[in-house]
Amino acid sequence: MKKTDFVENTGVEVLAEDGCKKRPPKDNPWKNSRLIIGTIILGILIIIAFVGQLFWDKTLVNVGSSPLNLPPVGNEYRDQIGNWAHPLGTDNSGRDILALVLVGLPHSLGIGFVSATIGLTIGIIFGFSAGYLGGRVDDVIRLLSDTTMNIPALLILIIIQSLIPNAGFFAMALLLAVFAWQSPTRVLRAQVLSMKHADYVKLAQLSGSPDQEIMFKEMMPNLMPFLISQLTAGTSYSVLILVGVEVLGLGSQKIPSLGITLNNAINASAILRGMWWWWGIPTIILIVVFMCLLLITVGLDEVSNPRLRDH
Amino acid sequence: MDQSLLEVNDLTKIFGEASQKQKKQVVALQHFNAVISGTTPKIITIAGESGSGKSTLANLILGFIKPSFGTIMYKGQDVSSFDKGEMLTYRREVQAVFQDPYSIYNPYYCVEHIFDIAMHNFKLTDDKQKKRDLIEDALNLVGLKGENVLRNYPHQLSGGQLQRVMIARAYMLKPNLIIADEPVSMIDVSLRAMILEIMMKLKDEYGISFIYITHDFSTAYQISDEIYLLYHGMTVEKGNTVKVINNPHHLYTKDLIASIPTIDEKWEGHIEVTEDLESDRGQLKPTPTFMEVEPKHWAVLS
Repeated sequence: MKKTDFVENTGVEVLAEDGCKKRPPKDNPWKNSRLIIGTIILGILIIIAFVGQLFWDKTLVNVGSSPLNLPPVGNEYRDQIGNWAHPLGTDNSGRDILALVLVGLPHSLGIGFVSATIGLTIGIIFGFSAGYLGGRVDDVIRLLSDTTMNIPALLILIIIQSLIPNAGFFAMALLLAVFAWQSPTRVLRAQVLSMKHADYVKLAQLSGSPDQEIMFKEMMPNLMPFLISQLTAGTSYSVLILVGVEVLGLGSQKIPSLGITLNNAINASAILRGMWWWWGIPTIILIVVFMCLLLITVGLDEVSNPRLRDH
Repeated sequence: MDQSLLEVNDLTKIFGEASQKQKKQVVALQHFNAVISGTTPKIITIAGESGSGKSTLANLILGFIKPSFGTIMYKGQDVSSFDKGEMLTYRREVQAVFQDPYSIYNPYYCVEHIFDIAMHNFKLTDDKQKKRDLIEDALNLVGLKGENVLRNYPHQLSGGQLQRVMIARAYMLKPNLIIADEPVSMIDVSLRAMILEIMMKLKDEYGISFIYITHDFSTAYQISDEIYLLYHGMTVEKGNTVKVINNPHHLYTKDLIASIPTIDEKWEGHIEVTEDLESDRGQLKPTPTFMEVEPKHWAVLS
């Protein structure tokens, strides 16, 4: 990547003002474009979802609450013209797409976030213990994470979901967390291993600090941007698996979500019938969400790893 | 009989042993013996080139690594047999000042943090005013004021200030021994004298002994009472600092001292380590026998 506009612009401005060379203001790693754009777009989506729920009738997610097969505003589909009563159209069972999106997005993101949080918490405890304490503890944790990491999450979840068809919000988040702790554990272990020999850790040992204080009070604050990037990466991973399971028709059918909507669209051959809004709108929203999470993750990586920065 | 503060017997550290069989073994320190008196505080220099085992010795005494064999006795008790409570006391009474004042502070916290954790863990006092007085008192000793440094982040202070704060921290804990691992090698010359003076003052007025680890003979000559010269982990010459430096006997010591550049003449010499000496590197050898070349001056004669 080339220099960002931010730095170039300031450089030019300073030059024009003083007529002599001046160092550009100290770059703030938190102000990188990827992080900002990702956060803003994701923030807007989440705000729209929550504010929208206040103003839009949530009961429209129920079957038969709206006219069937209505296209979005301004479009025509089989003699029906889209109207503002259902701006994003409806599906073939009379569910309002806008209501589905407003209710489904926070639901899917929420499950992903909760499971990533649980996974990261386990990852922090295991990763720090393995890296800092070493020895047997390290062996056991490494064995556990390495073996379970290679189990394909989707496969196991399909089996579990077919046994428990209507898992609720937290049950689902917990199930996903089973597959979300290995990656943070491994990555954090590596970080702690390299940080363990830092001089300030030595000093804390000399000051009589117990192990858990060295781990969580001395080392962890310095890993903060790194941890947040693990959290967003984990959220993205969990949402991906969640949507995957739902698209296969195995999610809870009680709560509307983006994956279930896609599953319904596939079952009703929406693509063949030309009902593009039914599958297209949830897909676009998912793509945007994944891109935002990726941008935030990459942006935070830049904060914690100066070598990735542009200049 | 005068009880020794610290007694090191036949201390040896071999890296890459036991489980890692294929790995080449490196003997970092071998057959190191030293006694620090409990009644008369002293500054003892450990000198030698890089890789001679100086820092290994510091890490062994501070308990960061375990010796392969040999013992470290503190006040007549083996350090490796300490329980948690005894270890905490040992930690408080044997403190350290490190080489790099920039990396020793956790960048996340203000400078005050290093005083806080020490106070908290060693339970010096719970009273807030008393705490502040203790810190202020320690900082005044090294010529600093609390208001100028405590609320700053480490990167906002100079290396000299940071190193003085480190010494203040060590002093605040009222230790018996401070391991100073090249405390002045990263500080510019004008501040060097100040740090060395503080060390002398702590020794003379507060009875704190020092193990001063350095490769710099001039500062060792200036402040220390005894010197131990390490070469590939082996003690090759030891004794009164003035006598050893003025009258070196071991081949390596002679080379080393001859290589110190002086300010008034152009340095013409060159250092050449003989093949013979180089091949010894990293191998465990029998306990060396010291010859007393003059009173208070011993050397291994090769």
